[in-house]
Amino acid sequence: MNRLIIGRYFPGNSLIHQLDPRFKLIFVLYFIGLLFFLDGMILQAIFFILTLVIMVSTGVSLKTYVRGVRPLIWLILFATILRIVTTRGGAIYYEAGFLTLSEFGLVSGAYTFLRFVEMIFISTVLTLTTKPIDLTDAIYFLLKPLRYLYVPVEELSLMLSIALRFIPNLLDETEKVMNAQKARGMVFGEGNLLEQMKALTPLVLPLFAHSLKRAEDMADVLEVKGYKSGAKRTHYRALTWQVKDTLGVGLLVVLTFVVMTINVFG
Amino acid sequence: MRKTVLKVTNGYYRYDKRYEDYQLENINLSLFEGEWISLIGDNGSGKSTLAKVLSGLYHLDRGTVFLNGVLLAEETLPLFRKTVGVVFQNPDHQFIGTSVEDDVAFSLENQQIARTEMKCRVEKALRDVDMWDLKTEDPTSLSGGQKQRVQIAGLLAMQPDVMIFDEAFVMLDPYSRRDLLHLLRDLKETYPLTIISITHDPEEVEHSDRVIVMEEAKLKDDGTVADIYQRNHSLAPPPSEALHRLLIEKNHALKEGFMSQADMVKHLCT
Repeated sequence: MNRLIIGRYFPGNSLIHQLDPRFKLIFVLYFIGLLFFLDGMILQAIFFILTLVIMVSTGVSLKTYVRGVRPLIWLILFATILRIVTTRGGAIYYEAGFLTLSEFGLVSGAYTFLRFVEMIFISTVLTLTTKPIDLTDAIYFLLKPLRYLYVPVEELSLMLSIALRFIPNLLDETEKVMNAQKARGMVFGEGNLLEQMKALTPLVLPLFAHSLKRAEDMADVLEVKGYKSGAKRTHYRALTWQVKDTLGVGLLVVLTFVVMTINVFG
Repeated sequence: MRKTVLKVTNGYYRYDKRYEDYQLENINLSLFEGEWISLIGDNGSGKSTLAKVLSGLYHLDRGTVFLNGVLLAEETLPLFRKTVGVVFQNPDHQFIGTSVEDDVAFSLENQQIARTEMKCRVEKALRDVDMWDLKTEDPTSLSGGQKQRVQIAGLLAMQPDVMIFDEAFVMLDPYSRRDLLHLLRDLKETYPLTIISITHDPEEVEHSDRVIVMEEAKLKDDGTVADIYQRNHSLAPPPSEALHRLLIEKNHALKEGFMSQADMVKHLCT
């Protein structure tokens, strides 16, 4: 419980781990974008294999990735089935009103399914191989231009990093309060929905009270440590862009080119 | 003539401005360079309030605070932040960084120290408190004592003149507490630090050069450890003095007055 980290970062030393988080973030967003422009079997195959290669090279077991898909499986299946029954074309196997089961429908259903799964896989790669704090820094970097639109990017990134920092503490506290209430005869997870929700009150209230107290303490700490919102600050952590990251950008360019070529001539 | 670091004159402070109920009343105080001061008193006697005033978190209703001769005001507050560091009670509420080194660097980032210098200072500070090997650790994985060590490193990196400990050792086990007190002692030998410690722990008080007693928002007494315990018999004394009193009570021929740990050891072993 103590070491639980949001996004479940897996420490490691693979090539993917070593890449700059800024690059990884850009890559994932761009890759997901490209997934929507895949026409035909060849491209689907290329991207599926590429996703698998990236996943394997992180050194994290495939089981972990599959577990990432599980909570969303119903959503994916729903989208897939919707796609299958609403697309018509090619040989038609079954028809009921506006719903059909057709050759094209099955193919595009399969593609939809693949696209969802690849999207989840590739973003899982990002969270598994990047420390949350590095990811925060990467987000900060990408949002930096918004400063010119008076978006408080610096403050947002500090907020995000403090929030990340307190998640393990909050989990610990939840457990403590739960145990304290259990010791006083409270039963969690029993009865109907309403009863279960009621049972949460003695859990949530102390947590809230404590969080407020902590927020107050934190404000004092921020102040004595000289933090002033809006003031200029220097940065201790620095992300380093390496040759590998530039090569990675090269890969993105090549991929874009391949997608365009096959879509036009294939 | 010793250099005055912090000076409070005619200090008055109240939380609730609607009532004439002061948490600090008529405080006049000079703290000198290199002193280790223990601030003691019952709960609600105003010692934490005084610490917050000295660290620039609260501003006096009446009276003035001087730091190295500079008057505390809105414009001079950044100077306060640079020269006065504070460690608070709950180690879990003080970590801002997600790793040990990040947290030590936080105040330096606010002071806009260049990155290369920041690296040096963070390393030196963490080595001083013996935490350099754990620099990439997640704060949640540290023990209470280690957490407070990191906080001390955070102050050291700022190179302050004054360190305030607001019941910073209360939530620690006796071993870690003793450990940290020795660490502070060593640090004070190396750097020209003024230490102000708010505490209930008589053992910690014995480490200090000067004790200030607060009672009902006022300064009640001010003096050396020996003076204070001789004059205020209602205060819980450090272990050696407690033993001394007990021995006198049991009719052992001991001289009156305060006995420090060293005195007691000398008496018992000769």
